[in-house]
Amino acid sequence: MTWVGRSTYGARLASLNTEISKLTSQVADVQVDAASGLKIHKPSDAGAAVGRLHNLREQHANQDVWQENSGYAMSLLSTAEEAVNEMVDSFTRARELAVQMASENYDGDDRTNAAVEVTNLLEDAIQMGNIQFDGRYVFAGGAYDGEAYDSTGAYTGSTTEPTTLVSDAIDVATGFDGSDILQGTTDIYDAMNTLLTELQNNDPTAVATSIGDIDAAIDQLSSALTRIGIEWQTAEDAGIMAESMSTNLRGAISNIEDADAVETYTRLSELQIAYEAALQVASSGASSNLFSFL
Amino acid sequence: MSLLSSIRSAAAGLRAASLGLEVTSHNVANASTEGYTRKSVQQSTSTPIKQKGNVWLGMGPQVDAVTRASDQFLGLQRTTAAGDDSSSTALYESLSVLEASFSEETGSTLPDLLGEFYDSLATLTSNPSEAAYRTNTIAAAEKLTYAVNATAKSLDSAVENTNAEIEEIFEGKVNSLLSRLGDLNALAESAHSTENTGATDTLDERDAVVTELAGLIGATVEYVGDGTVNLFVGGHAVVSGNSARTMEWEVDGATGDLKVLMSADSGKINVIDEVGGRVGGLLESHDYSSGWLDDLNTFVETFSDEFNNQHGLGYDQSGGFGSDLFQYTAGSEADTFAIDTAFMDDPTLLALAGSPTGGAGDQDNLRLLIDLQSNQTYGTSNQTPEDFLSSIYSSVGQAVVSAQTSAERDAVTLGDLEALHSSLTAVSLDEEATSLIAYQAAYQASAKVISAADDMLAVLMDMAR
Repeated sequence: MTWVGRSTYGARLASLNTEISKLTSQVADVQVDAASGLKIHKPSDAGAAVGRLHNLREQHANQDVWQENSGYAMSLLSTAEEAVNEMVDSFTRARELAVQMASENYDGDDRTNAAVEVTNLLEDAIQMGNIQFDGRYVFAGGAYDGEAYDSTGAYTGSTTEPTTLVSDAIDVATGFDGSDILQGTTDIYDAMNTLLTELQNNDPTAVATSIGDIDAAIDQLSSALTRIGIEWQTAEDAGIMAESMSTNLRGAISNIEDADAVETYTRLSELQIAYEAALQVASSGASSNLFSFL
Repeated sequence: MSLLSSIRSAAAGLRAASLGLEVTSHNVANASTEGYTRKSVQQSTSTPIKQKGNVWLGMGPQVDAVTRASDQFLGLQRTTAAGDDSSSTALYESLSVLEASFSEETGSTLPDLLGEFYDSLATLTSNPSEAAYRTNTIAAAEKLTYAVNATAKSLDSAVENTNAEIEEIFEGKVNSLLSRLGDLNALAESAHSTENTGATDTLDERDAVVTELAGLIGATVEYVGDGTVNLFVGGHAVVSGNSARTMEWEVDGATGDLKVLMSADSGKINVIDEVGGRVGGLLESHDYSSGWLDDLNTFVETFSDEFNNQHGLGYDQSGGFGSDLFQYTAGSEADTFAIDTAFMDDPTLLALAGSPTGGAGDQDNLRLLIDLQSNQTYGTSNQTPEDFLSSIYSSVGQAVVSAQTSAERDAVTLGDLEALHSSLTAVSLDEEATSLIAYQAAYQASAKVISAADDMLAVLMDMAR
């Protein structure tokens, strides 16, 4: 404020009022920053960074979805993997039985008993083919609200494969077309059924022949495990990436919207001192004039 | 010079000192009166009288006038600055209120809520038939519509409040001030023609009225030689001499167009583009509110249409075509933005499948609905929906920052001019105290002269006895 010649009481008071009002407003603003830990409460606080802030927040929120989706996918895929591993165990045991029963050292009773065990193994394998996660049949394809296989091992699911978004551009399979993954190159249930039939027929030569089918079925299951493993790895990578991105994005958001504590409290202290000084001046110095001394 | 002349001179001194004291008293009493300017006594030596012996002797002081401290150039500057300050302050105040509707709290902004809706769709990709996920999507959609409604209502309310305040300004203040200015002009003209120096307080009031009108409608002033002022809004004289026109505010019921009408010789003229001051600031705020409301309406229309169209191409869990999830009424899109309540009762109505027989995992249409998020079809800049909403926030922020900068700058300018004006025209109690002492001393001295002359006359009288 520049005074030209005369400084009047009213003008001094008006000037003080303006300063006090400005300081009150500034103190209030900084107090809100200090209390909330944020320096952006409304669009004008962010200035040109509003668009960037919204973008970062949206990306940050996306990472939560990607982490959630990848976690869900990994759980489902783990269930699928466990089921296939169980099937591998069943087929390995069936192969052992086939190798034994192909020998002339075993008689019809032995093969009948082996057939009973293979029947159980086949039921277990079908049960594993109908494994569920979160109420959905993992190997039923897109029609996962119904069973993938009937009691004979015939596929009753869908040939489409559901996928889940685990990032902006990455999908992972969260369900499989059972007619492909378990019955594509080799129909694993068909192989087991053949072995069962040959055991029931007490035909060691044919049982020996079916070992090749069982081996092919195990290969089919190995391929399924590989496929599931790849999907699981993709989901895990996406989850890790989302977690990392989330941390980085939180940092970027923090840089824009979080108040620097030291800076905020220093500023608050400065403003409070200035405010108290202005009040002191207003309450004493500004009111003096010559009449006081007459 | 005779002793009687001395008494007359001293008596003139007494009168001048007495008047000076009266003016000082008036100044002190009005030291804190808004718009009051310092008055001072202009006195000079009376015309001397020729005495015997060709001697010219003075006859004491004479009071020529009581004048007020003023500066016409500064007055003009101050009037303009008052209009600018009032305009930018009004704009800043109203935009600041509006900005409260655009909180930046994380998770509460419209872009955040739109993102939440799309995120809920992305979550559905993990299990599109999951009822909980579907319900979550419906809830996110409803939350978005509520937030848009609330923002739109704030903008509507801001527009209504602005209209009401402008109407109040014209009905309650402007016309009475214009009329009063005409009256004060008449008084000033009369005082000017009769050299009535007692009209200084009238001029103070006139200047105060002019400043208030400048603040309200951004009027500019022109000083006329006859002691009056002419007042203009843009290029139109609204007060000329003692003749004042009237002004009114009108909102066209059919088109919503705003008008500031000034009475003219023939009918009325619309001066909305020329009006400034507080009304000008409020009108600018009105334009911002309307613009943002238009943007919100555009968003709702584009977003709803695109989503509903794509949704209609998909199949719900019963195998039927999707129905409209989002609803609005044309012309008040943001205010009426809502979801069909049938979806709240039955989330299976979400048409996420691409085929009626695709099974529980069919999410072909869901993917196409998610893709809408990156459609660059919003506004004239072809933005994505989130960028478009975000740009409204940017616009709000920039408008507030710009208005704040202008308001602060104009306040400083006006403050400086006020200080300058005050330093030239306001009452300084220190000065008045000094004047008081001076007039008191002059009065005592003149009284002493009269007393001395009286004593001398008494001596003469005694000699004559």
